[in-house]
Amino acid sequence: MAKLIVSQNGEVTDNRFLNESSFTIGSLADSDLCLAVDGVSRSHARITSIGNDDILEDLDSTNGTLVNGQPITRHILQNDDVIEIADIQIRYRNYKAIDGPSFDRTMIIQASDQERSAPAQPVGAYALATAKKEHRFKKRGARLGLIRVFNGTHPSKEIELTEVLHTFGIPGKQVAVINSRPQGYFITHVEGKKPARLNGKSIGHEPVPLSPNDTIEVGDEKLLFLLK
Amino acid sequence: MSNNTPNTPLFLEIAARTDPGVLRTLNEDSIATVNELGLLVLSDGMGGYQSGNVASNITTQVIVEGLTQALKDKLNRNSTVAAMIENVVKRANRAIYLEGERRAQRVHGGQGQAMGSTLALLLFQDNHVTMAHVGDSRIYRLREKHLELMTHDHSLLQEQIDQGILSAEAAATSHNRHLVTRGLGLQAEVEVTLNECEALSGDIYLLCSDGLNDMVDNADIELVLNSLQANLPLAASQLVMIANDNGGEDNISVILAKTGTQPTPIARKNGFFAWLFGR
Repeated sequence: MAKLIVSQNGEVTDNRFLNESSFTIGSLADSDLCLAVDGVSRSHARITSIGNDDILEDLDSTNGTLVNGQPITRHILQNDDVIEIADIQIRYRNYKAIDGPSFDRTMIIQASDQERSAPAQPVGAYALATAKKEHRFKKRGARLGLIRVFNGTHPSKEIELTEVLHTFGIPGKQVAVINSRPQGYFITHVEGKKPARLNGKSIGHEPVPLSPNDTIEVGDEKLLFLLK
Repeated sequence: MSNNTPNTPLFLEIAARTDPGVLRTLNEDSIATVNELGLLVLSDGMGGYQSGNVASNITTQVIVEGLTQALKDKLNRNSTVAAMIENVVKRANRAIYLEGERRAQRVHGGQGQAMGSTLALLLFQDNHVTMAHVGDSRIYRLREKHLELMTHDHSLLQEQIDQGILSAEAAATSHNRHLVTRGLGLQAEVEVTLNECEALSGDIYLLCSDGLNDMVDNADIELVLNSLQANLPLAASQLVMIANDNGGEDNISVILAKTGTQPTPIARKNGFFAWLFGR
């Protein structure tokens, strides 16, 4: 549950938990957080809680609401945000928020006016927004896979299996993919009349787990699978 | 559209997968594809008491039936494809809205749990593709090995990025990822975002629910599409697999469509393709 720490002139004056779906801030006596000081509108701001999210909205107040120094009309509160209303500072603490994204069910919120009037942007112009690196699977303590490529009997190169997948073979003729997964490394047939061979046997059409020192024949190459 | 150089006829190959993910038992996503029409529809349902399921199913059903009819009847000769799509999406919106109201009455007095769904839709017509979306389901395009996002999420998170309140980097670590500002069935009317572009041979289009793009990095999506495009069904199942390997915290749906001048051997074998010209 999120907590608000209210302070004025550097002194903490109040602590509140956000335990209702709506929490009002204003100079009215029946506000959930009543701030009876100059510059605070009667109904100044509201915090709406949806799932683990707390959304702060300015209710058309006379003097506005700032978050981390910037005026807002609506803002998804993040842990340690500082809300400023007149000369009152309110720190938002939400320890759940520190753990990163939550994946509660998709929920609905009214679009703000800005969203409705946003100009149409040309196709393909958007940045690849909200990629999420930290969710990419990382092997903890697991040994990195390695492919040693042979041309004839001599090793020609080594490829570290750092990506989520690597393909080997000749496009259009015979290709296999090796996936790096939490359970280990797997090889799967991609294209070609005949699947690649693992230790002399066809890998078939289903994923096959790899073990160190396995040999793979794909395209015109011979591969040796190792763990670093 | 008259073009002085005759278009090379394109074929369309389609592969689709939907999966409940690791943490959920119920799959509230719904997908539908109609090869002969070049139509792909994906919908992510939301709402309590399993109604998300109902909403996403209504979305795909009403749209597939409506567009099949409209395209076959050719009654709408003087209306554009975009107008046709908008029309059936609005029809789906009303159908969900009415169903939601009916359910709210049954649970008399119960706080009207809204029910709704997102939409991502593609319709290929004569080397031309029309895209429609509502909510946070996405359409990507791989062209010349580069992945591009073709849609702009209708979500509070995107709104905050647009207003400069949140940087795209901060958004990637934000915990508020799932608040959509638009959806089908939430109100009596809905605004649909429509776009059009020319389909080129070798393009791969990806429709997905947020269960994919929340869990799998764009760079990895790009890598999968580039590496496995010779086997589209495998590319679709590997995207789902990677999302699950990364945690699979939501339902995952993907539809892939590849345009080309010749079907791949795998597409030919499975019959998962259709010629797009001459319709």
